[in-house]
Amino acid sequence: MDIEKIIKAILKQHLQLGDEVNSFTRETSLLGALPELDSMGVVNIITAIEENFGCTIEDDEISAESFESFGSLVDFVESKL
Amino acid sequence: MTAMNVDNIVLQPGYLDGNKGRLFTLYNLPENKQHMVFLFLPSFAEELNRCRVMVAMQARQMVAQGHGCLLLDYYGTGDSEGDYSETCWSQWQQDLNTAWQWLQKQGYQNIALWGLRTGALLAISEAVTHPERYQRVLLCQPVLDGKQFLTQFLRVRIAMLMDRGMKKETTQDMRNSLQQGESVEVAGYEITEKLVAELEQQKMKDYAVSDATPVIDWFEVVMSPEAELPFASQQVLNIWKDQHVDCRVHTFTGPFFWQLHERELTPDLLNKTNQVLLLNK
Repeated sequence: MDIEKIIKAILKQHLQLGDEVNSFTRETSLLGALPELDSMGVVNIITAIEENFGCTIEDDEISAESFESFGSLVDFVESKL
Repeated sequence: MTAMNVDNIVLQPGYLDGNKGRLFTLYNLPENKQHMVFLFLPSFAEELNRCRVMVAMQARQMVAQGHGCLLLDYYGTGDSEGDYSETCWSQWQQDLNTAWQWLQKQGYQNIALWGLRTGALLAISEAVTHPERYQRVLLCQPVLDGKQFLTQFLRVRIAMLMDRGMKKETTQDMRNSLQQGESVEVAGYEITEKLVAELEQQKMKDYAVSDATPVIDWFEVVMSPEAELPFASQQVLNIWKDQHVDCRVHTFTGPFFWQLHERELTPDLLNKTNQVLLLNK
């Protein structure tokens, strides 16, 4: 399973990002850098991760650190699998 | 199918007298009172705002086909009177009743429900309670479980606190505050215990649908045209099949307009809805 590819697709769909997503690297900043990623955006991404990866994310696992960069989000999802 | 020209079609603003105050509506009703009127039940809180452009476009396309439509803001929401702290499921039912009665008084007999997200839950709940009132039901991206939906909604506050570097809360903390009679603010909306308690009880699979339920068209997004519906939706549809409910499923692809910050149209959904309405005038 290509986790990075799935997360890119989720970001693209739920935040309505264009093809810029394809060039995201681990270092690409997310929270605070993408205006589309507001509180509702964060929740929609979390819900999509739960549905796509069949995992459950607890409330206290929702943290700014996970959404800091594309790399940190990938690490977070890997930790849930 | 080419896009319809709706440039000349206007939705009129107006108010209905609800039981607690004036309800804002946008409408365009057909001269021929035999034509169908779609009574729109909106999505919840911020989702309502995010859907406005798409809903208005769909409504104008319905009018272009000769149908009527009435878009309703529940009491305490949108441009209706009242505070958000007064909104709740039983008030939504009341407001829907107000709108239905008003359409009846205008002489319209063919009335359909058109529910988006949580509005779809309300549409089925009402169609089951009053099957004689409605000729058909359109469900758009239906919410299936009020409790699960609310947990996701309350999480918006967690994300907000996280974004601002404020003290963490859990949805359970928020539910505890609500039970102690405090209200909780989520994305600028004042959420009350009553709102949560009533909406949490709503589950699509629990409604007593039957072959007496008006015909249902269910529209839901998928990631690609050949993709199947999510498991939770299939579960509900299987139950309905066993109950001999006349429900047709239509999948669409494109922007998740109910979630997006930028107002987006989803042409595939517009086209598929238009096709369904054209075939079943």
